[in-house]
Amino acid sequence: MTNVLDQSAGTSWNAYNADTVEFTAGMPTNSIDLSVYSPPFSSLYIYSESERDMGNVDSHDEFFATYRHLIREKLRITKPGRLTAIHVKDLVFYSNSSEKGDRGLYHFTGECIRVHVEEGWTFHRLITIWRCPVKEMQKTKSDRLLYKNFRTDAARTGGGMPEYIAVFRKWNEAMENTPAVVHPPSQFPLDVWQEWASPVWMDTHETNVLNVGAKNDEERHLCPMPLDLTQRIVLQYSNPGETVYSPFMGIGSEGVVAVREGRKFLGTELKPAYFKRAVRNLQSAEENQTAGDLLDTFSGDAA
Amino acid sequence: MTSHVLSANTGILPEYADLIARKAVAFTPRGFDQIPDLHPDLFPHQRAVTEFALHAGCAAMFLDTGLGKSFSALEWGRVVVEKTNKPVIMLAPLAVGPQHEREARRFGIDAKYIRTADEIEGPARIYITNYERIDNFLVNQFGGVILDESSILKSFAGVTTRKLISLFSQTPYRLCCTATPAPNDHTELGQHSAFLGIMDAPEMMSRWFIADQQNAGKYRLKKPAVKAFWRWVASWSRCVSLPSDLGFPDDGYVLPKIRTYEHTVKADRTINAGEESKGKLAGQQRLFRMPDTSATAIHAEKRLTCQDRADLVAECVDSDPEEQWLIWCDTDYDADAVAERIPGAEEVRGSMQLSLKESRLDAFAQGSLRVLITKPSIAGYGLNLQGCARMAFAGLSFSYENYYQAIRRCWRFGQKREVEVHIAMADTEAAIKRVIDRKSGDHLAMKHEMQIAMREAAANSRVLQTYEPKQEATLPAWISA
Repeated sequence: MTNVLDQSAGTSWNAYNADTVEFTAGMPTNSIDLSVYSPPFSSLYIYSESERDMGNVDSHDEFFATYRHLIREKLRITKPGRLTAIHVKDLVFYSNSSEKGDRGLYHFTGECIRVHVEEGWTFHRLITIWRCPVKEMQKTKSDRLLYKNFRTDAARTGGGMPEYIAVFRKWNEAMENTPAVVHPPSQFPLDVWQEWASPVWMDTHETNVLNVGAKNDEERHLCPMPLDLTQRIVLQYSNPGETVYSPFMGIGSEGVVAVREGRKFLGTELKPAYFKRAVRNLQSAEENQTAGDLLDTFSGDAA
Repeated sequence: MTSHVLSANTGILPEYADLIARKAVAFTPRGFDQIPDLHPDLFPHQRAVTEFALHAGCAAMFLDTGLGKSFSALEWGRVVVEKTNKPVIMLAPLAVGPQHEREARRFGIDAKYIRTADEIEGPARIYITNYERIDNFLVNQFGGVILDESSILKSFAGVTTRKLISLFSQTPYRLCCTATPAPNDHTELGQHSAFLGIMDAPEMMSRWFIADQQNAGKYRLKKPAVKAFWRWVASWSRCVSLPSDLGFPDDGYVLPKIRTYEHTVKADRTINAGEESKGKLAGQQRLFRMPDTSATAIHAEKRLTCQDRADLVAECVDSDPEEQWLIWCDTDYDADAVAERIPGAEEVRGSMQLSLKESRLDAFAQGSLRVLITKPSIAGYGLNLQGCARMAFAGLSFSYENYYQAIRRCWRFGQKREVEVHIAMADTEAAIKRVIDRKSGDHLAMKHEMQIAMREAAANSRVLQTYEPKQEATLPAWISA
């Protein structure tokens, strides 16, 4: 029996405070329509002091040894023909963390793709998310972005770091039996599609995140998943009423988007503090959703 | 509303469970679950560390001088003897053994100071001997081992330390006791962790330390690892500078005042003034000597001022004849010069027979010897000499630790009177004092940081939060395959 530390539910969402690998392993096969989330970026951030935290690792190898279990279970619970989308980026490393003493990039995105493919997923799509290098420079003061270096020693300079959404599909003979995801042209005209089909999303905002609701004494999420990215993925790859899963829901960003868009949501989070905030965010998303429906109804009547 | 119950997954993911287990770097306690009633005279902080060490099975007590390490260690040993019905061996620095035996007697703990294996007989008890005598014993007969003043491992040759580690690697219960380590002293912590069978020093180094780019061969704690490192250290040790570190009141643990007097010898700078070695004036005789801080220069300087410094020390001792005096020298010629001037003074030096050293140190501790001359490297560690409140340094070396430990023999909890420290030095040696003062400041600052980290770590005594989910998860009705 899978046990959890805590759980909570609304009418269209269930949230679990649990180790995501164990929890996912206990879920029924072919039960999820779409999963979307941002995995821990290897050891870039340590979110909690739990030994179960995938970010609590000494090396990238150790991270992937653990993450691989989730990737495998995620494939099993996903309906044939459906997708998983992960929000990732590459990682900069510095001399003090490198055996060779060099500085450069770790292609975390590539490793994620490789391990998904190794575990049976089909690599389906890679969206590049443009991020402003000037803002990045101001935030990180990275050697790679300094004009000073560009003038004097440009071999040290790199460029801005984009984010990516890597999408994978569960390719399976039974996929014909899974209902298709459809987009009525009245709601999704051609220009919407042309925008979403862009290989580089230039117009999304890294600041479009859920963190604003943090109370003063609450720890802010280190790296919440942007809502606008999630929304496009949820809308493009699932039908209303279907189930969206996030194995790393954090403070509930993916859940809030899923609920707002009329999907069902299932999520797990290891850190009790984040879990509690996710529950609060999901509750208020559901209340607003109901209020929103009423408003829609009224305006519809008036028209 | 009906709900699905998640399918059982225990055992589905053995590999994943293995991974998680390896990640948990917390030391797993391997001691006793049930700890019997401990000695009623233990102070609360002593009780806390003793219980912790018994529970851990292999542990270190980092207790600052005077906080009652030996009582806690003896009580730990008593319980191990009782639980295992095997003797426990306690290794102590020279001349500290009899002191422990007396302390044990005072508290009614069965401990015997011995020099050879034939003295082991009768019911299981604690046996105390010196590190130097370890070869006299077969260690596999002991249920437990206590290293007293275990920071002494540092001063042993690498071979000796490795031998000790391997000798006791099969002993089920192991305890190390020493003062709080210097925070940057990874060698000491690594040796302790290796001796206790917790983690090998190289693994410890690679996990939490990085090579200092500026100083070849030096390592420092990785910045993001500071908390994790001390949390790990706190999983197998308790570090106490004051009882309040463990949340107990500090009543009775306020040290008396210490007064330091510097006596300066005006060195005659016309002796060995030398000549200019370079530049325009090369070859020209100098009027005055120009001492610097190189080791050779310091030694030459010390020889020149030896007699004058000994005069100063003797004056101090003569002017306060009712008091016991402990005189620290750095070299044999300093010791000789001081001994000549003070009738009745006895010396303990490295080349002497073990038994003679021991009896002289013991006589001083008991108060029957008034003036003892020795070196910090011989008697600076472990001895409780709080009966004595006067000490003199016939000179200083650059070792802050030696200086600190030497002072701590008398200036420790239990000392009721103000302690006077007299330092005789030549004006040409001022550089040494400046170095000592600077190191003292560094030490205090780093120790403060470590104490904060250790205090936090001890408060949530587990290294990583363990994951013990108790609620059975229920899936919503709308989820279906």
